Amino acid sequence: MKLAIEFSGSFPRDEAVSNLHSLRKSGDIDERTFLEKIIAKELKLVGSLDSLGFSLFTDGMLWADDILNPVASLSGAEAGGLVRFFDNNFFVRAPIVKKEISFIEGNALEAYAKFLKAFPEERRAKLKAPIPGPVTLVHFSQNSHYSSHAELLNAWGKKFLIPLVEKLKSMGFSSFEVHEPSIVSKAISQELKEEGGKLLGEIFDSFSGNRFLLMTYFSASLVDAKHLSYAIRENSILGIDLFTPSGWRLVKSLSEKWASRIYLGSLNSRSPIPERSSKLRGWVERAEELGFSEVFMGNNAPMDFVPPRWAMGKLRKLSRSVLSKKR
Amino acid sequence: MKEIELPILPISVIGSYPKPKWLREAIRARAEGKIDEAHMEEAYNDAVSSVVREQELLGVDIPSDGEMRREEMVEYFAERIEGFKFFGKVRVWGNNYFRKPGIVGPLKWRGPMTVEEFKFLRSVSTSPAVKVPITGPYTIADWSYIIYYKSKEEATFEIAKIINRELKALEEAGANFVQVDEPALTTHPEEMEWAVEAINEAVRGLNIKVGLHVCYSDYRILKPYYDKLKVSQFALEFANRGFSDLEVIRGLNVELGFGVVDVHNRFVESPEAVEAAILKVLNYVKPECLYINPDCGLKLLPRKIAREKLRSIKIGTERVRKKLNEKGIIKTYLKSEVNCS
Repeated sequence: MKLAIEFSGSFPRDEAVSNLHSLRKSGDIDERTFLEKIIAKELKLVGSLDSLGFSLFTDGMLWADDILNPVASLSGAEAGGLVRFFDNNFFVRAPIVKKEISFIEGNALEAYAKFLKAFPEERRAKLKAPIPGPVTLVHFSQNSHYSSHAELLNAWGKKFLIPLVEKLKSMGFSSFEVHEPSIVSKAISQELKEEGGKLLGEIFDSFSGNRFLLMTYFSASLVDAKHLSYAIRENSILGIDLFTPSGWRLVKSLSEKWASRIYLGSLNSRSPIPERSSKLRGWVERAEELGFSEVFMGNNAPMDFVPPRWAMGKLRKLSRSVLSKKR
Repeated sequence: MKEIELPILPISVIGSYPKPKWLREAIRARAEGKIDEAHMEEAYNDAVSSVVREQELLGVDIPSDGEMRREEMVEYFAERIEGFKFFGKVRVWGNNYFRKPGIVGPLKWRGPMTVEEFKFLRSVSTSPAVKVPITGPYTIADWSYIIYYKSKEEATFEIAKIINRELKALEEAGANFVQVDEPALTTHPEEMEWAVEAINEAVRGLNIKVGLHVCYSDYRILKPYYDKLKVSQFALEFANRGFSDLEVIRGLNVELGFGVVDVHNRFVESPEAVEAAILKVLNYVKPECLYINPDCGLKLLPRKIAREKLRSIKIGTERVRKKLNEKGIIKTYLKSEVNCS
């Protein structure tokens, strides 16, 4: 069994990064200076992850407020009021859809582009571009243009995500991370989840040479296995949050019928307490027993919910616990 | 409780108000040891006097002390209740953070946390009623890492006992309007039953007006509990959501504190927009049961913008008051028990 560790989504902003955002907001530094300084911080972060043995990672998304934040500048949707991001004390701005969705080359691309340029070319294959999934976009949209959820889902998938991935690919990304917590959320209808799973499969088929990690988190149920199975492809890996009551049951069900590879959300992003090494190693053994040929272990969700020091502590612990097991 | 006469559609605030720049500098200087405790206390008192006067001049009928002494709504109480430890700053949205506490030992009330705040507020306000906001047990627990207790439920009920002691101390000191802030209340729908019980535990045995503030939440989850919660006012946020879904307040049998300006947006709503919002909500709530307030605390706004927003609230509310006055609806009363069915 191939075993690797992977960092996904956002890393919590420390005070220095926070100050840069404040300076940009107040106009004390321009966009160019902001990005230069942020990217320097991101390079430091990924340097640490690289040296800890993480085989794949994002830039930590230090430049963005959250996974939905870049959507407004790239889709023409307006940034709306604050809405709670699932059951967390964390809020995002809902995209307001008042007209046809289309991909536009907005400011957010600069952050992806500049980071890529700054990152050593020979190690670029380790980078993942994080993007939101279509079901999550529908979940958080305040839509007054499309007549149904199905239409809105299709528009987010085909008019926005496919061209966005094409663009990111042309810029040099080969791996993508699709944040799709809503596909396992109880708030979403089974019908929409099923349509969403099929659409994700289509998106992945459009980029057969690229790797897609489909990140699900904060919930898991056996009912979701079927919807998720539509998105299982040669080039896709499912990410399951092991800190939900049915996380392992879902992993087991996927192993029996559909998946040979899995991403285990093994670090609880909502608790500062480090996971025990024995627990992490036990999970590796369990995945091996279930017959997975490839297992990726990482954080279960974006890490904004714990302070930076604790987040890094958890990532170090994962590296120590799992990579020593590998040896 | 003695009833207090108020103009119809009383204007209040949720609690926090932007800190004067010099106060923030004083807090920094205190942290660096450059000024002593006595000077800091004087600075806090001056700041409260200033922002209370400002609220009153801008037409607020029921001011708060602007939470000048508080950095953040959970932090303030976690610092004063035994059993908490701080883990570090965690982001809430955009570039806004709070120091996230964890419950690492048995929780104990060390003594009054807000009584001196109230006494000073009462001494400087010329308004007949003032509001004291206090963070509710569920939100304190939900926004903390639960390490010592076996469950969040157990921790919440321990905090409820502490909040109850605090509220009784406030009542004894003469407070007549307290507001329990529970922005986290609807976050986990499956926990609503016991969360509501914990809030009722926190307000048990009080004979003063108790409001409940819930914001940035799914009010459809709150609705079934309107009658179960032992409070006489719900202060809810509606400007952030463009005054949509007002239908959700149908069936509210107590007063509504109606949020008419967005506190996370520097765009200043016009008096006309405030007037239109109030007229819209009057289709659902009797004027005698309606209070007007911002969506939430104003602390994150520049002070100038907060002032302008309050000014819009005052002008917009006055316009509606005028229309109501013509119909003979002139005043209302602050009281602990209401019937708005």
